[in-house]
Amino acid sequence: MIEARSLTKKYGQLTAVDALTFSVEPGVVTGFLGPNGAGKSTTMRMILGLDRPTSGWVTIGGRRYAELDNPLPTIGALLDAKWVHPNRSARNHLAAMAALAELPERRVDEVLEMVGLSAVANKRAGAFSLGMSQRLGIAGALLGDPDVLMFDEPVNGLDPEGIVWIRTLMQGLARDGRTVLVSSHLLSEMALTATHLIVIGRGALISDCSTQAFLDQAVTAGVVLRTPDSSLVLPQLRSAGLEVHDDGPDTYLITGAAITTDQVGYLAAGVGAIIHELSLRRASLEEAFMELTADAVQYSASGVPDGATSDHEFALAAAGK
Amino acid sequence: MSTDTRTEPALHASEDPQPAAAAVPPSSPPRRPGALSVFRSEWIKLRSTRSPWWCMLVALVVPMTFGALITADSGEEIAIFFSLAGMQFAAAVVLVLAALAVTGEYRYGTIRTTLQAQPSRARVLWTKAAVIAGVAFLIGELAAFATYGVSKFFDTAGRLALRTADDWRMVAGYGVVYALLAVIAVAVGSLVRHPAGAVPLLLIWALAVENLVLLIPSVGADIYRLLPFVNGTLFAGDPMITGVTDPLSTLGSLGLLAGVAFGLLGVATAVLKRRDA
Repeated sequence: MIEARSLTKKYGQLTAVDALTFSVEPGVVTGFLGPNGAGKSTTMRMILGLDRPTSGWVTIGGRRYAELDNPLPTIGALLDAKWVHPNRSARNHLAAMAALAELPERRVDEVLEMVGLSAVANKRAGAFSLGMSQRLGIAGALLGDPDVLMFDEPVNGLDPEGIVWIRTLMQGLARDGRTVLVSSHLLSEMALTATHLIVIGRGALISDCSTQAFLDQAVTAGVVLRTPDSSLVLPQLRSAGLEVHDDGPDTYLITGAAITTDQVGYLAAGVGAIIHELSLRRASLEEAFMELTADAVQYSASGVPDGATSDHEFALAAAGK
Repeated sequence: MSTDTRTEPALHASEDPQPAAAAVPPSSPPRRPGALSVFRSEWIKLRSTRSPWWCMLVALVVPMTFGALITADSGEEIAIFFSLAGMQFAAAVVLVLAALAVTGEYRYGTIRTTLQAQPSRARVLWTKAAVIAGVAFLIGELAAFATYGVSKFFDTAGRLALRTADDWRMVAGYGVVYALLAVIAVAVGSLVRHPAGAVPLLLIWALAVENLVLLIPSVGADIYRLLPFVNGTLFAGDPMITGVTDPLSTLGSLGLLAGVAFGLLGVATAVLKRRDA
């Protein structure tokens, strides 16, 4: 279990993480969602004790990272798959980590087997494809057989097969009763992977709820109704418990729980209203997500990044990822 | 919207914390991994890339070659100190090796995996310094004695010999000096973090800046006597050449070098603890 309270990180003028308070519970995959530059990686670095919070705190199983006796058996993390020496073999990379945590050498072979890298264990990590590097990073996270796991954008740049593999792996780890926190900037990916979502933008918490609740809230499906007889039909709709929003000349967006075009059609027919258009509108996941985080996007296409930032995150944002 | 069912997981957890707490197995293995585990890890890291091996090879071959050439070509006089002239070059190689061992961790981001596994940053840095200093010590001893051996082989007139304590110091001293140079390079590497910054800084400091100090007319010579790399050379130097005949001053040189090395390591530790990794 990870607990953050008023966790804040400032770089000079820029507030990368703004008073974040959240808990990550064991037993489910928790998605950590936000646009690029929202502060996801900075938050994860603070969880791991790599970056020092400006204020606030975060604990793993009730203890701060620096207080953990032997961190790897408590929390494993993959923050960046490129954090390996290119001329060091996968096995030696893991062996150096295993030595630090006083884990037996055979554990290295076990995790290599788990991620399917046994055949290339002695190859230099610099020659690995992105997918193989991600697998090596995941092997490092699994090395200590930890109760808490954290992955930063693990499916970035992976082929569909790799994405499914990681998704299945994370859900399996959660089923074991572990705490799993996985970050992503893609709601569609999180919708498939995570049960719970912590959504941030510009470093601040936007939402902390179940994935289903977030999706229902985000994907505002409605029925578009165009009618010249608004004075007839609108009171009828309202009295049926539906909400009516203006959506252009003679056009209305009707929303309500489990709304259908049939329902609106019957209600309009009941008062003899003429209908010019009746259609279902469904926001795509990404549209809905962008709408929710629109105010919170750090680097919009027109904006120039201000202040200090991670090159990596800026490069990704610039590449439109 | 029926929020009652959707927020159920959160409600459930706050009302009844028992299942959530039970799902986290008691973590914390019996004890905190000590310096020995860091030592083993650092040793794996050092030996599992190629550049340290190349550095070691060059640090051995170059002084031996120069020792052979200098001794074979010298006329009447040859001193141990001159036959070991190539050790100055090997010292530069040791600086590069040690600086790269630290800055490489920053360049490739592995410092974060290291600090993740061992949050005690002081322990990480000091153990790393110890491992690299140990390797530097071995390089110094091997290179010095091998160079002396090769020189003696080419010294057909039999002028080279290890007779006095000073003679021994002039050969065996290099291991100690190299170990301290490695500590300086580890500290500088940890402070600067970039290979392209740390390596030139160390080499220019050691090879150029300290000699430039001599050009300052009035106080130059006094300052020169207090510079760390100069004192490394003085400690392993020949009293007949360096003019440092007092054994206390010889040890003083070593003390000064050690003081600078551990002072820098202390500063590097404090900075490493404060900084974001």
